Amino acid sequence: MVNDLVDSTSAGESPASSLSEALLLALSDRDYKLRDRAIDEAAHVADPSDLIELVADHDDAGRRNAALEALAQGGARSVPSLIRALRHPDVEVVMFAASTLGRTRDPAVIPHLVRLLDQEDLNVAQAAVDSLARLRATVAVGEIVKLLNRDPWLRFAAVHALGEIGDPHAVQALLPLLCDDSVREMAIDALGKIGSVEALGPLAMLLRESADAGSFASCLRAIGGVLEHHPDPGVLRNIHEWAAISSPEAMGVHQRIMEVLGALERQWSDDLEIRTAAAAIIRALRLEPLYTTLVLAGRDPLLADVLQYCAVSIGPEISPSLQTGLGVRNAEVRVLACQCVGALGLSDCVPHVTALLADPDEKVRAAAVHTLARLDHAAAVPAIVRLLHDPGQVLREAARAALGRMDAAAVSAGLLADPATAGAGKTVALEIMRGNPHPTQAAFLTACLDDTDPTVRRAAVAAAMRQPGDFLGTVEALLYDGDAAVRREAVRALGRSRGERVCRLLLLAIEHDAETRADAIRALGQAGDARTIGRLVAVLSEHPPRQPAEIEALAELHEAASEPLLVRLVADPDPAIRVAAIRSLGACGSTVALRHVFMAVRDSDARVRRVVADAVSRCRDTALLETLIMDSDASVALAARRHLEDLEQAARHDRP
Amino acid sequence: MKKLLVVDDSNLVHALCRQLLGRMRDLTLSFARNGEEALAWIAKEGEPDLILLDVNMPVMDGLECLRRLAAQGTSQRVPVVMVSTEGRDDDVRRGLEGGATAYLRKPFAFQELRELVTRLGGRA
Repeated sequence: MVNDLVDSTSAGESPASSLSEALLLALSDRDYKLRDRAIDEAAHVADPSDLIELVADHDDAGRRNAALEALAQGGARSVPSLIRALRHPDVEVVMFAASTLGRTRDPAVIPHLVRLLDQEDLNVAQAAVDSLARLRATVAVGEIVKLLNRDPWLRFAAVHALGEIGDPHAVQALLPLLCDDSVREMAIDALGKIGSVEALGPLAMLLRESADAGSFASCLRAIGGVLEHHPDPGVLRNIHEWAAISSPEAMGVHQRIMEVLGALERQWSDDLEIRTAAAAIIRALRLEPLYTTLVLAGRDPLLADVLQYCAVSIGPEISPSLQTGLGVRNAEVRVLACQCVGALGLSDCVPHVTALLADPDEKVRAAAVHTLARLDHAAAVPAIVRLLHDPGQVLREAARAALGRMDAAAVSAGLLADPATAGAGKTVALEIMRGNPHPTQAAFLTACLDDTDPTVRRAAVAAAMRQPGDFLGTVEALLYDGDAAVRREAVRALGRSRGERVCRLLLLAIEHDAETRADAIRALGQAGDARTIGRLVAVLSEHPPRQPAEIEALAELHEAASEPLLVRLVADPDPAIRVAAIRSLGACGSTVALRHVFMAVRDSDARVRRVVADAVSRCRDTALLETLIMDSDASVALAARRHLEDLEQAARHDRP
Repeated sequence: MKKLLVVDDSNLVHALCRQLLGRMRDLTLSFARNGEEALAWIAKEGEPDLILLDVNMPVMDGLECLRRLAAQGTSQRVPVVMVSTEGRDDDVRRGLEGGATAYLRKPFAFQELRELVTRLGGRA
């Protein structure tokens, strides 16, 4: 890679006298892709002290930033040089070094950063604070708190850092700042991030007292942060100022929460967080007068998950508000209300949900279908069966999914009563029956197994094998069906059963039916009878696989007994067979299997050699890949080169 | 509603801007972490009314971003305020010659930032 950089370094640069120098030159290349590669390389191979020298050069900001990026990516290997740079005579180098130490993710740098906190240069001290925040340095909290008495720039940085570090020990130092206009909002933010319950009372008071929408929003967000850390409302009940928010005296707060949730346009860049917090407050305090506001906030689909969580947490007492939501004009709200009814299992809402099967909005109808399925409302089955023929795919899929889960007796009755089931809807009905079997379906299935349409017979086989009772004899007859797809389905169905008879039937299929052979091999593996593998190998030795799919199916059995057969296939005259055999042996991974894979490195067909490259890369065998890099076929050489680069990259990351 | 794009890789600067400017009437803030993100934001959302542009950022630094903004004409239409810890005259000159409208040295007074945004943000 470094050679590439030397070749492609911008014209006009004086030639580098060494590869290392070339790499450092490439850090200032205008081509960003080249520069990114140089950064990545420099992070691992350049001397960090050389990179520090580039940081000290103020004339090329781009190269300086690239050097800083390389130092950051270098992680622990950059740390000694960065620590030395904290004593550099140029205060800006000190500042950059302090800032970069935070990105090395090495906790060993924390004491060095703490020592910078009382630096006279504000930018250096602030860079140190910032880095301590990145490192989540809880040990530095005490020292950072002391900065709250210094210059406003540092106070700000300190408050921010305390929030990022998230240590509850900082709360007592932050609470007084709620009275300081210059940092109040930062302090509110920090308390929200820390999430300590100690802050809840003061934040609740501030919420009631906040004079403008902006402060109110900040308090909401911070309270939301605390509630996330304490999801059990019972724990918070004894905090007087917090509990007071649910009193009638806090009507002003309720009104403002309604305004936040009811706003039609986004007011703030963190609007979603603020609305989420508002919803969380309603949930945590069980503010019943605001339940309908909560449901109506569902007009914003981005809030749907949060609102559903809140509704489910609140429980059945939100039912009246959900019923209101089922009848509003906004379709998103009706969808949300439907989903919440289903999640809560609110059977009293069934009439309202059933009415939504005729809703003008397709999403709402689909939500109603899902909800009626969750409530297992059998009376709705006929209406849902009719939706199997809806012009819209969304409704048809919703109906299928619902009928697959509802009471099997009701679903069977509904399907068998539907005229379409006897006609064009037969296959769909059979697919539903496959997922939701019931004895009343038996006669219908038997008739479908004899249908003139092979698609129907295939679907009937799949459904029949899920039925209680013995359909094996019936399915066995279809092993001789004139349609290959039907026979394959019959073979697959057999794979779900066990027993000598099943194994015998599958072995016969392998021996005599080339079109179903791959499926029969897989089905035999599924049947799970290890005694048959020997017989399988014997059959395949007499009737060798002629399709790659058969070989892959054999490899999927993960049976040592199949390896000799696979090894023989490496010498097959058909390159497609050799490719499948090599791939399968590579997946086997045994010593013998891999030896035969390696030997195929000289195969005459490039497709085979490419698969060899793929297989040896998984074994991390770089020697063979280096052979394949010189392959006469460009695609093989390229595949080998890519695998080699990947292995080298992985080896670098594994280095201590 | 005026749009301010803050281009800086520091979470602290983002928080500072939210604290100082986030609740100003008729002003919305958006944030990018480097020059490349800023250019992508502008391509998608359109030109803002004011850009605060840090010099030292990974991926694409502020001076390169300023060059590209000049090349596409953005810095002629949108005021760009360079923000940096570097206070040498050469650095200021490089920024202003590159198309920046103003240069703000860190650590700056908070009121200075508010006044600059009020003055320049209303120009677009």
